[in-house]
Amino acid sequence: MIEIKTKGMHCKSCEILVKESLEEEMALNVNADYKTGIVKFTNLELKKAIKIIKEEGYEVI
Amino acid sequence: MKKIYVPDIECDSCVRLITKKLNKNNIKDFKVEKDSVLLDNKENEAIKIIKQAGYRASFEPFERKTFRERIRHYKENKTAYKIESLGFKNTLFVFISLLLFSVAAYFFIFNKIDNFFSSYAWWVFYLLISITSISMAAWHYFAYQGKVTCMTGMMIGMTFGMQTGMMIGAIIGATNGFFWGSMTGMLLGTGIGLLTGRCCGVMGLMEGAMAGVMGGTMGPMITVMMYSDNVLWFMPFYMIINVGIMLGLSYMLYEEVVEDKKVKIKPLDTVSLIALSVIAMSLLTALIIYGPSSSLIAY
Repeated sequence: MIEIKTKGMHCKSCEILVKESLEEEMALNVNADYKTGIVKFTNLELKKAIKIIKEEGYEVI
Repeated sequence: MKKIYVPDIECDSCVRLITKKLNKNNIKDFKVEKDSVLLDNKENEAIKIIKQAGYRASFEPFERKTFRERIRHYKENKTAYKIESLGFKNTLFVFISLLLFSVAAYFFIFNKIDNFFSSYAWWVFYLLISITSISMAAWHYFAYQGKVTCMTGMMIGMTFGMQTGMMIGAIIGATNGFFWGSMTGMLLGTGIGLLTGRCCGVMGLMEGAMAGVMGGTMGPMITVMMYSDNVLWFMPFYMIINVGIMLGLSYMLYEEVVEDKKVKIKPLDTVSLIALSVIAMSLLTALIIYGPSSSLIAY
């Protein structure tokens, strides 16, 4: 399980946007929590995941 | 262009999410605006997609029901108010359980206290009403798990924090003095404010905590300052208004979080609800009667 700390998610819609973007790239077990900013997933390279999250407009800490 | 009303769009992420969902389903030439989506084709399909994304969507604007319309709707659509009907029954069960508990406590323990009726009886009764109304509003709130907007979440945290602090603080303030009233009201109000306000993140947490501090210190201030000036005449009005506010909160919760929305329903069972209410009642009653009190209070 890979865990990334993000900044900028502020609501449920943000969570869904991040989750679905990662799942489109075949990530599995994706869990995004806007309250903590933590995004967890498996089956996707860390570098690629960071790129996707940044493309969605969120920062990766 | 046909207009689809989507009143739950509240930020840029909502706009992006709806745009993405529609694009993904090959719906073209649409415009997502604040509170609505404009498009030329596949309107019915779009409504379905927007609803699946967790938003309310309709060709007609979502008008709020008046109170009269709500009553009529409740009578005609009992299944839509399953949890609320159960809530009314639970309110009665909790009230009766707390009343029986208080009566039993009087006959077994409190009748040995000489001045129980003149000093404590009314306050224990008001405590019973406060716990019933707060626990029922909390039960109703926790029975639903759905999408809560920031505005609604702040309102929920604020009302729980403020009203818990005001009601409990006022009672403990009258029996134990300003310090103990403030400490109890503030800590309970802040705790419940945080617990309920967290549904919408830091904004709700802040609002809940601030309301807890404010209500928790204002409640005892009212009863301590009014103690020698007809406080027992004041209290029925004070309690009726506060209970009314808690009912209003549940009404708002249904309208803003539940109606026409996708929610998970997980109500706490009646026995656990009664048990929690009795625990709260016994702890606070013990504080009123056996707890420390200010030298300003002459019990």
